[in-house]
Amino acid sequence: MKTFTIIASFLVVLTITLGTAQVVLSNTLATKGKELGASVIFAEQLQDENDTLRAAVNTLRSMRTIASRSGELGFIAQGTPQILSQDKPLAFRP
Amino acid sequence: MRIRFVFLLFVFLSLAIIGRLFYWQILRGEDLAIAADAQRWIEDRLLGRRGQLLASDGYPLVQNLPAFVLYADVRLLTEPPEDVAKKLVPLLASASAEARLTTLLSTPNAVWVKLTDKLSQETKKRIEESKIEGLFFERTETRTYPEASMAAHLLGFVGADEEGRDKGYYGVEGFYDRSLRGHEGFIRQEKDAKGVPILGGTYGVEMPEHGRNLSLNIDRAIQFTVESHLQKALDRYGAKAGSVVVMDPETGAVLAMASTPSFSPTDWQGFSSDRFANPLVAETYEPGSTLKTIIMAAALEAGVVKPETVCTHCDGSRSIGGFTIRTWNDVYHPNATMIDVLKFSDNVGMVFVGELLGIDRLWQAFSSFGFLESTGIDVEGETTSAIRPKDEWRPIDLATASFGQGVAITPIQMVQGFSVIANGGVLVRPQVVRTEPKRVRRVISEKTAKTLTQMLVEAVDAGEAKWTRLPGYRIAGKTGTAQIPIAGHYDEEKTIASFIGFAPADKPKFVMLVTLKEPSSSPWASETAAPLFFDIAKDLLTYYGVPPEEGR
Repeated sequence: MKTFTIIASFLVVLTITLGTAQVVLSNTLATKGKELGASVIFAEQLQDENDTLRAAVNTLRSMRTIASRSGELGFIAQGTPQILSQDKPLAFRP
Repeated sequence: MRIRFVFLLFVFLSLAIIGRLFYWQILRGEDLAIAADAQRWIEDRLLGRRGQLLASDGYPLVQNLPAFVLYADVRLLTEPPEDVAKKLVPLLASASAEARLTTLLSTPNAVWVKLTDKLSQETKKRIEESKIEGLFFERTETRTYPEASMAAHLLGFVGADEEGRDKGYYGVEGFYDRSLRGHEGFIRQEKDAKGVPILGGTYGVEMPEHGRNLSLNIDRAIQFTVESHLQKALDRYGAKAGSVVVMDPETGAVLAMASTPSFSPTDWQGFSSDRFANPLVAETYEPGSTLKTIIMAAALEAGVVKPETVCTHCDGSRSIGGFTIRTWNDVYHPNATMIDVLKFSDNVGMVFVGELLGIDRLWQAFSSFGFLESTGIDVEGETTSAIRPKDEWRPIDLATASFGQGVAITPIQMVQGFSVIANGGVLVRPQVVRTEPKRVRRVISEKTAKTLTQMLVEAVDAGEAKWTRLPGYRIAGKTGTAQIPIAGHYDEEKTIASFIGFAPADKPKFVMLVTLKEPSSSPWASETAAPLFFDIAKDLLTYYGVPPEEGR
């Protein structure tokens, strides 16, 4: 009889605890939507920023930009390349 | 009596309740269900991104930037439409839009009225800071071109279809529109009374499908080199238009493709639509003397001539069907060999070759070299040759076709056909997007290809353009100066000057065709297109690290 009372009491307490936990958890989840929405917007903003910066980087490394900047730095269009002798080194000659 | 009155009252009230229930549940039921749904759910579209176009080094020639559609919920406007429009105009930097915006904002009870499309992030921010009630944004994207208008004809641009959705036009954007297009997804979530999503509530999601990125064979360095030289040449030689195409003769990979005048794919609306078609695939031209290389290849392959065969009719002009065939400079070479015929670009000598070949074999050559069908290059807008059916040919047509007049092909067909000589005899399909090379068929033997290559090297070293060749390099090539047909006759002064060649001759890295339309400084290809070809070739050979041959 005593054992039965203990088990019954335990089950009642457990049920009440789990029920309360579920209510608290559901409430927390239900009210976190605002943070979720803000997180989604923030993630989108970061993605947009990434895309914009990537486009800016690509423009900076474009051929047009490189040619223009190199001209400003004093580089000139290539002339005729000077080719060094193509003779084999002495050790490799037959 | 009172009981009866109360009973009738109950009946009346019951009928009234039933009637009201019928009204709300049956007649208005659907509307209320929709309203309840709208109160309970948020639905958001998930953008399916359009695929990027990447150069051979992985650099994005075309990529996407976030953009925004501005729309209004007219019911939520707190200011008159005219005032809202007046505030928006300076923010949108669009002076002519005020009347249009006022009309749109005046649409009664409209929930979603699109005001403008493809706004940048900066413009969106300015509009948000203006705190105009009733305006909202929808995410979309817009195309951006980090290399500006480089390869505009090749890439094409993105406009809108009849339903306002993004659609590719011309070039790669048009050809691969379906593969590049993304497909929208959606997310559906439960929301609370304040419109905030309920985490842990019911939701449905369909993920978006992003479009496929395409890797192109285009080499940015070669494309840039080609465009720079082409623009300088247009200015130097006073040409109306010009085009260059560079291709790997082994694989058909298109390494560069440029035409000018061009357009900006970002602001394509500001250009006339006749600029958009790529002249290299969409326009035909009479190739002139460059076609002599193909005719000679066919004649060598058929065995009707050898390099040392002597032309027995080359001592003067020829009269055929009431027309007189002359050389380009009225200089004649009696006993010219086939090597000389190409070297001196002798029209009379080519008529000799054409007559030995005959119409049937010449027609067969056109077919084998791909001139009677589209190349199948993967850009939108390719057309094919304009060559009259062979049963309509007269002897004069055979004669003129032998030196490249009276037949019209596209530049890409010319490059594809010429590549047969460069790669040892096989027709390959030109490819812009990187994929497995497509070898179409064997056209001539390796021996014929080698023989003709040697003849073309001789043509460069000792021909009319020898003053402009690159010392130290074996380059196989041919000039072409073709008169332009206008209203049934040929213009006396206007020409299309071209040069086609490959280098190094023995193991070519590239084949290239250069065309200049109506150069005013000189009509001759040897003085316009040939120098342009060699200027570009010099840079390409350096880029590929090909040293000159010693002693050459």
